[in-house]
Amino acid sequence: MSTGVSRRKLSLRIGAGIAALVLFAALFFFFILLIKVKGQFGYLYNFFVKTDGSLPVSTYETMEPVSHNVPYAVPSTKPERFLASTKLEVEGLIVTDYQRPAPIRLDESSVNLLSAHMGLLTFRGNYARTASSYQSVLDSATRLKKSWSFRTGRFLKDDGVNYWSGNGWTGQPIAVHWSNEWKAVMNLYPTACQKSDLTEIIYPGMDGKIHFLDIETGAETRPAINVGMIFKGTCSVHPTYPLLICGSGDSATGLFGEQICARIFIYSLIDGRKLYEFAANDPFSTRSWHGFDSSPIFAEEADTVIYPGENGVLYTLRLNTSFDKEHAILSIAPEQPVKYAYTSYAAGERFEASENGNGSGSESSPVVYDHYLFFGDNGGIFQCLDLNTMKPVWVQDLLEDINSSPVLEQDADGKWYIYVGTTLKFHYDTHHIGEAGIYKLNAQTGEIVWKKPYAVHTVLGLAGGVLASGASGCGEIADYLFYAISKVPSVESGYVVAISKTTGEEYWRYELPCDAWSSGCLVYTEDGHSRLVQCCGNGDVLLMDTLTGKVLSKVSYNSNIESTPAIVGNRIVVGLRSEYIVSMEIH
Amino acid sequence: MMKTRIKLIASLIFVSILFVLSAVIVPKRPAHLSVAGETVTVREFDGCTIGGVSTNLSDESVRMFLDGYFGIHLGSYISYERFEDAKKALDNGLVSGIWAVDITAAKLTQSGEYVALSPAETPGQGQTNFSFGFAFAPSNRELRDQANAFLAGVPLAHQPGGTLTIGVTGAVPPLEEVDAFGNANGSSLTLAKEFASYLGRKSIIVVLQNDSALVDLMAGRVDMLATYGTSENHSLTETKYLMSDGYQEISEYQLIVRKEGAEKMQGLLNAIKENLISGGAYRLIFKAAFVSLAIFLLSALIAGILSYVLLLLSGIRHKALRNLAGGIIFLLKSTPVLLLMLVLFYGFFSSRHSSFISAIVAIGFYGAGMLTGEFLDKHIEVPHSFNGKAVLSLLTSRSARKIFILQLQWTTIVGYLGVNDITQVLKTIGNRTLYPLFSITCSILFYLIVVLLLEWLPCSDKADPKH
Repeated sequence: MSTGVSRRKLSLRIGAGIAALVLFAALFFFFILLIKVKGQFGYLYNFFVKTDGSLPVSTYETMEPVSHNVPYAVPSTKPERFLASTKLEVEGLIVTDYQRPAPIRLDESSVNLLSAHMGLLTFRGNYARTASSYQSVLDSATRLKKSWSFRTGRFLKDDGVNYWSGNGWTGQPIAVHWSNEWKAVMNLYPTACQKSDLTEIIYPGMDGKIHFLDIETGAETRPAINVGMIFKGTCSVHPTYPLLICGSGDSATGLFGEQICARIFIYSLIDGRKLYEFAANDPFSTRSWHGFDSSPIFAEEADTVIYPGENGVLYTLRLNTSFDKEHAILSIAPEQPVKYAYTSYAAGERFEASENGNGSGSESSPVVYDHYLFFGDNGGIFQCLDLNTMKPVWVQDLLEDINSSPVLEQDADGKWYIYVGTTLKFHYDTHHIGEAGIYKLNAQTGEIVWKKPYAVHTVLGLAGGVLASGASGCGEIADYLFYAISKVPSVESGYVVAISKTTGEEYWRYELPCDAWSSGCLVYTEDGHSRLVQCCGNGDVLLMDTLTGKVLSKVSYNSNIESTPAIVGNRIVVGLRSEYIVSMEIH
Repeated sequence: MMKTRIKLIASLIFVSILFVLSAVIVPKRPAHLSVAGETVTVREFDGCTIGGVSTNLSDESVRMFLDGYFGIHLGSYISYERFEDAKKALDNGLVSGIWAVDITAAKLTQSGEYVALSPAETPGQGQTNFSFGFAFAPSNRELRDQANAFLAGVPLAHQPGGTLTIGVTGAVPPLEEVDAFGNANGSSLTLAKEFASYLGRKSIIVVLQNDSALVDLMAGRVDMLATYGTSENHSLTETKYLMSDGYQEISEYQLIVRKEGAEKMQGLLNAIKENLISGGAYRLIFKAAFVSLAIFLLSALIAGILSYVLLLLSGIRHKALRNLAGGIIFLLKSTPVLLLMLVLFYGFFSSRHSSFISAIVAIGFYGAGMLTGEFLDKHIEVPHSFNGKAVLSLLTSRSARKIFILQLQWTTIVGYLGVNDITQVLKTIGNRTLYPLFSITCSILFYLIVVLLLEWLPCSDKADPKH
């Protein structure tokens, strides 16, 4: 009898112990979830539910172009349909009409940056954003191998508590193969100067510095420039002169609570001297928020730089560049910038009051052809602007935040198209789920040709959808367009997709266990095949077969990679959020 | 009597040993940066220790800021409560350099003893990067507008009268300075006083710690801060505090180093001179000792009165009231004094004496809880009608004395609220003179003396022969 009682007691105790363990595990799991949603219960749903992921393609009727290569608006893309107002500042004065005295014109070689310094001089290699690698036709490409790493740092955020670290989005390194003539007058270290095949990595980062590294060894090629402001986006180097232009992505704080506004800097790469800075705290801006993540464009013939800002202002600045060859002094005498800003009906409705009015700005990098600039903003407006009159030609509403930089490409028939993606910021349901898409636009009229939507999550201020720029294939993958999509179908996963440029339909889709803000880069093999290099939010770098989406090789850094890599030959260089710039080789 | 003598001798031996050790042992100093003329650059600060006045940023954040601003990788960062303390640390070689805004650096370098180093590059180099202005709580928008009108020279339509409480921290000499005795002066303060006159109000100056000055502003302890950073380039969308227009433009932060290296000092006599005599330190210490004793005596008084009331409640027949008393006793006994003090400071008192009052009340409440618990444990009964003799007997019992000594010891934490008690003052002196152990030993000596005095006082009951 007593044995029976003690057994019952024992069973009860074991039961109670198991129940306590289960309760403890449940509480622990709940606590982990709370950490994931940062204490905001409204997002718990997103961590349990998958979206529908890939949605059917929508195709649209477009009008037959009346002429080739000259953009114009059709009734559905008339600027007045979308823009509530536009304004223009010339020489410090507000004007209604303008004609640029030194007209901008970028021919095909200027757009493709077939320049004196060879390499990747801007985000995605050229001003059509189609060169995702440089000189990357390889014997074979089946394996990734880790190479050198370089320690960077961090920078205090303007809230005085958190910090920016390493390299961020879009953060593509610039890679330049300087001529011996330029190397001889630059402040390069002797070993770098003497290296005949030196390719220099120029990398502004979120530690407030611009680093200069040898792509082969990771050794510093010259002293880093300490700017004292952070860089998230991708800088640009002048096609002819060693001029660097980069914009800060956030303001800086100080020890007495002061805020130092983000701005754009121009540096001489001969001696690392700052030549000019502008766009700080611009009263012409339609927003109080200033940030400059776009990768700017040098219109070489007009000696003018074109820079859209997140403050809602498009700056065009004539530099009046001169180079004293005898004394090796590079100088500029910038004129006052010509500024364009606008407000849109859509952004007015979509932005909250805290965004200070209905202004919206650009974080993505623009594309250009001739004297037409194509750019999107974070209110969903995509437009074509005549750079010589600074008037909008056509406007399209893509409904969501345009973070992905457009890709401008001519098809076999000679027609120009733009491929651009969106991130979910405005039109989500009560569970923070909605559509983000990839669009094909007719570059002449702004009409939508097709839209490939994805059902994504947007949580905790991090938008799902397309932050990466498209990688456009050629050769056997001429109809392929590669994109990374974040927070789909689960809040902690993403897709890498290959879609048809013609139809928008998927060729293949690969599910990632994380976000991917980094843009995919293409390399080719001598036998005509190609590979996609995709960096991921969990620190993985994937080498993928472009025809099947099969992962051929993978290396892992266990750190978020937001930046887009620079690939020169078989070398990959990319910055991590964990304060390292790393290099890999493709074999 | 015999026991008291033994305690006295033991204490004297203990303190003597501490004094000797503290005069010999000084903190390890980092290798000092040698400054050869003015050719030294900020890059040479890699791996060094930098100091500066405390700010509302954490030390780690300040270090990160300095790394980013000057383009270096600091070894460590030490913050000091007052700018003068940071400067003293530089003089004594505890830190290799200190940060300061350009106007402060210009003042320091006038003496010829220091060199100010600029960063290789800053955004907007050579131009105004920010300004100093008056800071106000968001609810004081009207006062901010009046400050802007004053700074712009616009006459005021009406003079409302009353007082204007001005907070100063001494973090930005020569705009504002606070000496070791808490006397404030400087051009910002003069300007703030002129603003008070402009409003027709009487100015009241309150010295605050720089790291908590904004909290004091938000809590309404002061109407304004005389010196805080403003900026035209404000990109934050949320207004945390209001700034007037700037009255002093600042271009950059600089690192200050000594030209001739650090002063050397060591030895007991030097320790006594530096900690207890130099600069009239003894006056400051006496004042602080008085503050500590005042806090102790007033908190003991509160403990005595409150414990009497609680004992009365515990003894009555009404069950609910008895339970209530039990609950209060438990709460007062169980809540850590520091937390109780912080709750009172941030939650209940907002006058400029709130730190002092919060400290007295918190320690008093704690003492009441402990005292009542002690009496109840020992089944000491309280007469239901007031009997002065019985109350005195209770408060002079051995149990009460034990609790009062505990209360005395708890006064060492009031420095957390910015009360300049003996511990706080000696700690600050120690930081400045690089003899922290010596100054803490002085503090211990003070408490030993007071405890011995309390022990020496006669008790109403006899010691338990079993113990």
